[in-house]
Amino acid sequence: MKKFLNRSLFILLFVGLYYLLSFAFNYYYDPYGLLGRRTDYFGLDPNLHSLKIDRLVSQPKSDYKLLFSDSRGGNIDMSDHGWYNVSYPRGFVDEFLHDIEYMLDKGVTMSEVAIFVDEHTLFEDVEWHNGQALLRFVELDDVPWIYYVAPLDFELMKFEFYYNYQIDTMHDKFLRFDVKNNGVYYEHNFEYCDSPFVFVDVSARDIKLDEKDVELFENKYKVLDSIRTLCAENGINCKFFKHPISTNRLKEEEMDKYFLFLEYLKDKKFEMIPIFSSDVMKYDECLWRDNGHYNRTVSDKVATRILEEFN
Amino acid sequence: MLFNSVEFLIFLPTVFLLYWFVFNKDLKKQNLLILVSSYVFYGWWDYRFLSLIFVSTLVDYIVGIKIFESRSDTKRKVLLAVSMLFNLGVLGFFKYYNFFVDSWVELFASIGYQIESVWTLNVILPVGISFYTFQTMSYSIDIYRKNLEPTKDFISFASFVSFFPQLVAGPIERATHLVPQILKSRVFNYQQALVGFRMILWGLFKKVVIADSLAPIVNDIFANYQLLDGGTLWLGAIYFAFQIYCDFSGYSDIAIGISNLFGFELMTNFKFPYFSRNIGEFWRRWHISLSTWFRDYLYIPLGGSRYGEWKSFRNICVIFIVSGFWHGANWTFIVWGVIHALLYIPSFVFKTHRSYVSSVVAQDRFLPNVKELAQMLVTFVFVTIAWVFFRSDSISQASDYLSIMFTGLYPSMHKAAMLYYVLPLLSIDWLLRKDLQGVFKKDNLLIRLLEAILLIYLINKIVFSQQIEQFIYFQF
Repeated sequence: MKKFLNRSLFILLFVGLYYLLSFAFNYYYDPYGLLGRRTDYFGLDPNLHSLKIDRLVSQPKSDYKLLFSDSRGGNIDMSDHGWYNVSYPRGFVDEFLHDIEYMLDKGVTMSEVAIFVDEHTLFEDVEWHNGQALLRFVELDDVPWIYYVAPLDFELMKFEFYYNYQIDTMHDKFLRFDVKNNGVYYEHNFEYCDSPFVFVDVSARDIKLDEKDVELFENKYKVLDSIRTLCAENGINCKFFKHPISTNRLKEEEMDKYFLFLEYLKDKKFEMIPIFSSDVMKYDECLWRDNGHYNRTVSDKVATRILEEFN
Repeated sequence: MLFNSVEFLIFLPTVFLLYWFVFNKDLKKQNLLILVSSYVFYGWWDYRFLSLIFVSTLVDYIVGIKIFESRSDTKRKVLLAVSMLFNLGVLGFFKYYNFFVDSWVELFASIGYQIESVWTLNVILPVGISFYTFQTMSYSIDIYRKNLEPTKDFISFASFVSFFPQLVAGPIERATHLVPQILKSRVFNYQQALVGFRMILWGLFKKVVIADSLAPIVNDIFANYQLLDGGTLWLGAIYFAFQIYCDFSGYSDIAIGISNLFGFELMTNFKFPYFSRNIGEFWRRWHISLSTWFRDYLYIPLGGSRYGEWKSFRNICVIFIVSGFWHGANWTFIVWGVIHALLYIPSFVFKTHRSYVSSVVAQDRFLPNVKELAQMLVTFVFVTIAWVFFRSDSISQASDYLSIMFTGLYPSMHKAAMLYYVLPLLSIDWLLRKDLQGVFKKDNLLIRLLEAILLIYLINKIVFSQQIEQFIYFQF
């Protein structure tokens, strides 16, 4: 037993040393995970939400044009037209409201804001979301300890060091798009392709909503309405858009509720702007990175549509 | 609790330390610890499952003693029937009830009678039910056959039924093998523990790195097979062959490794099945604990190959079909079993099914010869085609999938990147094929460092993984 314990101790010390070094590296060199060397924690390292908002607050310009979305909007690039893409993974409407309030409070002024909604922004489990270190919003002056825990990943250990790195400069290098192309799953359709867009007419099935669903609809409507009111009070031209959805997502149960929610908004005379003639596009391996995320070909069309709406 | 979870990373060392440092002087306390740990491990999924395993344990414990004490053959038969009816009844209710109801409804619909399926129930399938019911049935049958004396020590018997390393996905241990080990005091053995530790690492590597990496690609290909070309579908089927191998044999390796840490030896469940030269050899290398179970408790009682060719064919078909059905309540599993029966019967006719019983491919050489290579390839292709039924949701899906595989064929390299996982695995398996345990007994500083690096890699994968994949065989 003693021999086995000694042997185990040697291995454990080695393992412990590795985690200690990882922690030290994170703490002293890369607290926000911008270098992309850490183990991919839920696929969401670094915390784009906090980093993007921090960037906007630390460089308060007037007349920001901002696009809020979950990761589906990560590829929408309107930077040539002065837009900044504030999409971040698993972002949802309550967070968009918080961000706008927070930035206004910090003196950031916005002239135009595009809010993107989809089934995910509606049904995200808020409690779970806020329990995730790399999802919940944090002020970067006070980096939570959990930021340091994610160890360095063997597969990502390329020893390129960025001396004196600043969040601002690293931002453009790493955070332009937030759906990472870090696996074979995505790489075949990362950029452009020329498949035709095929739209499908889908209407909400008449499913029975329970009390919780009704309450959720009311709450989310209130959040959207608060964003609309806040924008109006601060002279921000605010528009609400619906993300295109692939037919593969229709298998999800929550989609029916999402379509009913859109009906609910229509009844409330809340204008949601569609991007295409139909909200649902036929899934195509070429146009979609996965069932939820479309690629650059689609997002460029989305960008064109947004610009049309604001011009 | 999953082996590839953070909870288990804490659970295992805790139980190990209690077992060897706190309760090491008292066998009864060690067995009680095994029992309590096993119930915690199992109840982690759903505490309600515990009542079922407890009742199952109690029934077979009492029946086992009564069979042994009874002098009347009739009474012994009745008692055995009680055990069989209870175990098969539990299995039938939880696993097959809805399948039978739906199948009747479909049958009536096919002859023009539409009946509403009001009899289906919303039943949760308890994890690993097929494994532990087979284990307890073998206990009662062995006592009935007078191959085993029942134990009166309930704690030990309950530990045998619920032994956590192999409770939910095997190997399906025989009471004749495991119960004596539970009843005998265990002494810590360095070599055994060392091999056990490495079996755990190797099993986790196969599961977490290979099977879990192949899983999303396989899911993607099978979900969108109608949009893909034949070459990609071939890749999907091959990936699934390796996914299920790494998933299931990985689980078995971990189970064997954990048992070794606690001083137990479990039976080998996999012996490099994809190096088999015919279907007979494949079934002596794939899920050995199940195939030998069916051989001993079904095939031989049915007459085996003793009563002429036709009865032998019938018996072969029965065990393969039952084996398929054991995997799940779906016609796809039954078709999978039928395909294997059809592949096995020719080798039975030509008396080649018992070839290669004791030897491994390229026994005295490093590389296989051309004949062996061709035999392995042909066997692998047939096994892979059968896997399509196993993986598909329905027979029509499997048929469509196979028809595209064979008609839309062109050598697509789309999604071929995952071969980077498969080919190194095959190479390592090839090196280990003659003496896995022997290789795992070697030790030096370099090996320790490699183990430490592998351990870090696995911890990172388990703790920081986007999602933890269940073991496929848990659903059976």
